[in-house]
Amino acid sequence: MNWIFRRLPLALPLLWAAALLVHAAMQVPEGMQVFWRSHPTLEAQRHQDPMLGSFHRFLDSVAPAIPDRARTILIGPSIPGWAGPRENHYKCFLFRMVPRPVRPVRSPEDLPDLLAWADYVVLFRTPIPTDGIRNHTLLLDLGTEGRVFRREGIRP
Amino acid sequence: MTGLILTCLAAIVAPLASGLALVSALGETGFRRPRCETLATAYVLGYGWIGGILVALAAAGLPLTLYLAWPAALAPLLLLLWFPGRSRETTAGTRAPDTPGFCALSAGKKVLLGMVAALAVFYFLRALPDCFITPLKRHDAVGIWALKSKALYHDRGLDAAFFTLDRDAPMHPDYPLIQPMHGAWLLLNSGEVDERILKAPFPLFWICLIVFLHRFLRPRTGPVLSLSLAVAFAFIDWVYQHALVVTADLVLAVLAFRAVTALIRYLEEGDRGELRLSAVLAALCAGVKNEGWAVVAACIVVVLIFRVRTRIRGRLGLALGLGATAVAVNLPWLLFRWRHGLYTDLFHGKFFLGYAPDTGPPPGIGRLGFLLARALEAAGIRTDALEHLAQAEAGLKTYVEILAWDGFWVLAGIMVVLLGVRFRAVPLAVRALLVYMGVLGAAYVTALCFSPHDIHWHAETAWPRLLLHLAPAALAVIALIPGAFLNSSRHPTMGTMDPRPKSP
Repeated sequence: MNWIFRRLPLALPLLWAAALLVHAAMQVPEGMQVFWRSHPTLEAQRHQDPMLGSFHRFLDSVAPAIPDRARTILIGPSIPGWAGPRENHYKCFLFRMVPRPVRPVRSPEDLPDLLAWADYVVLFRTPIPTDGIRNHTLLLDLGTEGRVFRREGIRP
Repeated sequence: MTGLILTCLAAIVAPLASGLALVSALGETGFRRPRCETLATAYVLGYGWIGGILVALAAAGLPLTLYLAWPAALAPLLLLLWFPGRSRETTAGTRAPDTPGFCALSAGKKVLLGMVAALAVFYFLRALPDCFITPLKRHDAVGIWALKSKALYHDRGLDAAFFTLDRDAPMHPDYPLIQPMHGAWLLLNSGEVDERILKAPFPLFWICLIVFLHRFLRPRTGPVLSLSLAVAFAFIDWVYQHALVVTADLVLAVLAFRAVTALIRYLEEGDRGELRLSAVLAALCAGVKNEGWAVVAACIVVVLIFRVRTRIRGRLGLALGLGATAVAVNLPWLLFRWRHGLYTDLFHGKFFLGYAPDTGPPPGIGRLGFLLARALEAAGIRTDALEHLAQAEAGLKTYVEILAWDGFWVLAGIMVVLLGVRFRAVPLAVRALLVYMGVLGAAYVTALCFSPHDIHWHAETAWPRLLLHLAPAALAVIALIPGAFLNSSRHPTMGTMDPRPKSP
């Protein structure tokens, strides 16, 4: 009994480590696919990841319409499936892989200050009133899948 | 192509070069450690140096350009002019006396260690394409850390408007900037915003974590247990996932663990180089996240308690030195933060992220309790019990998530119970690590208690990440406990370690 008691503290961590290592080793064949198959494209990754899919499709639909290095703000409610639908919950993001920063905005009260800074504002299915948005502001009212519902105020 | 080459140099070569120079300047016996540990220490030091010096330059109002950033990043190389002797020790590759080489092991152990190491290398290589193909995943990565890196890159420095404009933005404007600034450094070298580049340091930090755990445990437990536990720990899903995202938690966990283990080595061996290294690494922790100040406090408490052979004045001097180093390293950011009144959004306002826990139903089974409570409330019946049911369900979810650390915390709990049986026999390292974890955990719990937000929501979203900061130290404790139970002649822990501190 004493023999077991003395070795139990060593056996427990070793068993735990062995279980994790064996589990990790069993995942190796799956991981090898990364090496011998062609890499999954970014688009495929997005489709595989329901959390990111709609958000990145949304970004892709907006990005071509905005010039490089334009100061851009994204405004919108939570991305569905990403943070959960919560009322009056606004999140903004930088564009992915596009050199233009975006300020986070949570409420319409933030807009006047932000508009002094931004060149472009993109509204993402938002109830924020559009009064005061400058003429050169790009206003895209988008659905959850990134489909353009309305497009106005584009700089000539 | 130029951008790609520059980015690779900026991500790997620059931190290693500046870090090696810093290790040379800081360490007395640092270069007698094995090369892998020296390289890992150099990388994390260089990472912190580049982020910290660029924050200082930006806080001084200097625009971040390649012509300014590269000389600043490589400035520690000048230290080699003052410490040439230590740099020669590097090339000699001298070893610490208590670490027998790989060749001295039996054939079975060699095969076992080789398989475990190969598995770790495979997962490291597997992490690379995952890092560089997939976009950012977590909210913190998208909305906080990468956002700041991109803004710092776009503004070519610290634009106070970015941190003060959006008063309700959930991006922690008061959090220090070493991690985002290092990301901006990578973007500056690549010449464009590609958020995949921001992921580059994290697999390297994952490898550094394995190296630090293994090298700290090996002289105490032997190579098989140390490497097996270190690699298995890195395979915990929650730990491995942090090698694939852009957050500061893995960075803080690695820096903090290296800081406290350097401090323990100082207490055990009297190596003042390890003390200086610990002070700088703890200071860098405070430059990575605000939680890093708790790491500084924990290191100070460890010194005060365990530097027993020094008079109280000496101990206070050491503690003061640790604190002063942390303040000095982070002074530019602290001044910038004070000058612009950047607030702590975690303790600000009634709601956070627009989430009002009192107005919305909780998910899952708790929703039933919530709805029943509202219905009974409308009928004039007290509903405290049902409210508690809803909260209990949310709390239970939190603990289930903690258990989802692949059983790690369950194992830690069992080992702590066993520790109580032989507490008198445990070495100084275990006691110091337990004190360190206690202070760090107490600081986190205290912060949680002062949160104005729903405590279950806060615990659910923050605790799994905060536990990552404590987990490497917990693994070290788990690995060192068996030594207290086994015969000292049959276990290297009790045979090789002198728990008494030596005078420097």
